[in-house]
Amino acid sequence: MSLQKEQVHDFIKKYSEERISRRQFLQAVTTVGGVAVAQSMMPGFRLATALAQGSPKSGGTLVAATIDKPVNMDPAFAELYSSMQVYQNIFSKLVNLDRDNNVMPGLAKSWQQIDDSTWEFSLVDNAYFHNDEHCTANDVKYTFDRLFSPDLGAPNAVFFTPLEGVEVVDDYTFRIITQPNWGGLLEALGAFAEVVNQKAIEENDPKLLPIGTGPFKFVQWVKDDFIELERWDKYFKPSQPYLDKVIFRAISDDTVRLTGLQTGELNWIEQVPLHRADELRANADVKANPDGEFFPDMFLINCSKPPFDKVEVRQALQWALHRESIANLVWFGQATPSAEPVSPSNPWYSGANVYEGGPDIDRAKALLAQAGYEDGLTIRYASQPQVPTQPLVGQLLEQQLAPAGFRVEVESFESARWFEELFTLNYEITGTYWSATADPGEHCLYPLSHSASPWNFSAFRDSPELDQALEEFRFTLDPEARQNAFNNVVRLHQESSPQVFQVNFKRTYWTQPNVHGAQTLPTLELRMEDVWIDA
Amino acid sequence: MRLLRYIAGRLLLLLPVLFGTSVLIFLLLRLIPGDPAAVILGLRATPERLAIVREELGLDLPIHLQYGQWLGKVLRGDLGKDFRSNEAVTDLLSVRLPVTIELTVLALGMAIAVAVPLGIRAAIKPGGLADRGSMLLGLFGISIPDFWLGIMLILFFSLALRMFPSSGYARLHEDILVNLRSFFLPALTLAVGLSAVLVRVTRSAVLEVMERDFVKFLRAKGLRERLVIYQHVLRNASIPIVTVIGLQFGYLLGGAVIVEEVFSLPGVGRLIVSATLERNYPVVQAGMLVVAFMFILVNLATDVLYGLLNPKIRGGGA
Repeated sequence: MSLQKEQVHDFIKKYSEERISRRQFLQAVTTVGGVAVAQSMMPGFRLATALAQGSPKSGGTLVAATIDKPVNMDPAFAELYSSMQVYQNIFSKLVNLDRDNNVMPGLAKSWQQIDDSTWEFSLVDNAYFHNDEHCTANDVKYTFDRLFSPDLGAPNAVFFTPLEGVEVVDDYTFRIITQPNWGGLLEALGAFAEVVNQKAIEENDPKLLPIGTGPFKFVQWVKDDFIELERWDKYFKPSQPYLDKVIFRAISDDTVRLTGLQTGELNWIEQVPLHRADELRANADVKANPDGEFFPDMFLINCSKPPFDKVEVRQALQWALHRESIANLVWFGQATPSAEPVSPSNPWYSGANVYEGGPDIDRAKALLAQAGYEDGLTIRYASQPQVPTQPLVGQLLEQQLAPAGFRVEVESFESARWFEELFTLNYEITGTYWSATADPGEHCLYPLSHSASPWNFSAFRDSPELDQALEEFRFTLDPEARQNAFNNVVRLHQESSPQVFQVNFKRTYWTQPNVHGAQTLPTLELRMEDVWIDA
Repeated sequence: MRLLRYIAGRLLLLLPVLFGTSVLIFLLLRLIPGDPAAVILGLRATPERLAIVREELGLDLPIHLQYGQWLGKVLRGDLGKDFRSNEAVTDLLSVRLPVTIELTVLALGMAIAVAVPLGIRAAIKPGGLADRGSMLLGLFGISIPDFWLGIMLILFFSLALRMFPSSGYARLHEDILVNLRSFFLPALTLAVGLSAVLVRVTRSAVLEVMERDFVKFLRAKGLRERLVIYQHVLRNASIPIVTVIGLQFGYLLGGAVIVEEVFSLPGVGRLIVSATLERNYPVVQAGMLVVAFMFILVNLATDVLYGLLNPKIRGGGA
């Protein structure tokens, strides 16, 4: 190995062992002229992109426009993705996940597993809440005690069901006790566990006034207009955040959002009109940042009543489905067809597809005949007009499924009515999206498909095999064994099809060309602490 | 004195009307399907959590008790709290009402400034340039949907000319110039549709009055045409014009939803629509009640104007 290669190898080792920061790593690699070498050694790491962005600069105000408006700033509730986009910049988590699902330090600077049900974490000693309270292990304990409080009924508790408690060892050390061999702890901490402070929670309404240890502190919220955050000077990462201020606005119209970016009123936007995405990628006036497919779109199927109570009907649907058409016609190519919760670019991707070679109309017809629907059947597809892709998928389904014998009736429900259809199991088939690709088995397939899960909206309870496979997956620690268990879950899930995955939407954040550091993450959080503006 | 008695009588009528409106809104909201608890909890709901949230919101009580409790609070000045954010509804409305009122006033101002003179000119010279212009404006304004026009105006004035912001707003007391710039495009979008109606009404009302005998008499008497039109014809033609303006004003106070959405303006219409979709009962009930109250006030003002324009009306002689 040449000297240069040895040096780069050494830097990579240090970086992967978290002995040096990403920034130090980039500087070191650049110094020895080892960019190409490092890139070849770390194909998953977007080194070229990171280097092209240059060194971060401090200062400036970033005006960001999301699609939907936030409704609740309390992280225990994770109410609407649009709320999380904002408050995840106000709170910190114990660990963070990078683009490749690697677990990185957050408030916890290190951790180790003591035995199969005990993890010990060391906290940084320089983290302060925005009310000047010092962040200690007691805050971590309070966060989880609150999350599991029956009085609060926090929806996020569902992600931590195997977590049995938090024990404080000293001010900066605590232990998390879980059911034996729970393999999803770190990913759950990286996705859903924002640390809160008891005093802050009790003194103010956390839904309206969020107080965390995050890079930005909350300044004001003018409802339906904007939320203003400003740099927290006591942030525990001394060099971050780079921005002085972030203003979040919600603009629902794609064209208006894009116009705001093009005119300079906005610096960062969540999405452009889908049909213009490819054209805009070649446009020098706006910048498409590193994207990712972390948004599975799927059909939820009501397995509790005819016709979808019969597995053959669900399988016939799988055989009749043409995912490429959905990706091209509904999503204008901004989505990748996938029969599982993740797409091929995701480290979790299993590649399993028991319907390989589909669509196969003959097989679909045969399965329908086997289920007693030789003459075809009428099914109701419940769409939400406020999710513009759903009615389009419905129209496409009408055409795609007709040759197999499905007569699709597209129904349209506004959100309150749609939820009622879902909870009362009045629907037959509907569309929805999910955002749980940091750990797709734990955060998506388990809650939606396990017979004991409160989120099993498909009322699917016919596969003890799938239940067992999900349990095996959840309580496996070894990463390789866990991946194998996930692959098995995907295969069994496809066979019983309580949900049918269609495509994975490519989420891209668009900015002005002088905005750097923005990227799509598996947790779908907008990590503004990494973003800077080149004046 | 007679006018004051008239206004007092109309104000007294407000109470039963508002009571009826509140009952209607309350019942309608609960008759339509959709569960607020389900929306609050979203996909993360469980049957147990749904039951707890319904109890917290008081939705497990019989409907008459729910209404009684709500009315009692309203009479004490408490409009309730947003189901989702816990924010006082009075606070939500106090931010949004000024936005909607300003948008409405500016749009009506623009519409009146263009449509009334154009309608008069069109009536004075039927078939002339102004008449053709009014016809064009009428067709254009009525047939073009607000959301399309709004986006076209954004693309032209914001993107191509960079003259006005594409969305958002500044509050009036913060910076009046920025405020007016940010309201220009939304107000113009609304004003085009309003002008279309107003120009046609003005033209036909003026035309109708101009054919009356007293106008011929005034002209025969040698009165200057300008005085005939502006002092006599317009006064007599003003009742239908004022009626349309009053109705549109009331309508806009609660209904400029699409324009508010396109331009991301935090107005009352947008608030009520999103609250209705979420079955956020306290917000919808209070919002609708406030809008109804304002609508009634505008109607009252319109009636008073009738009285001023035509004394026979306030005396009950019309």
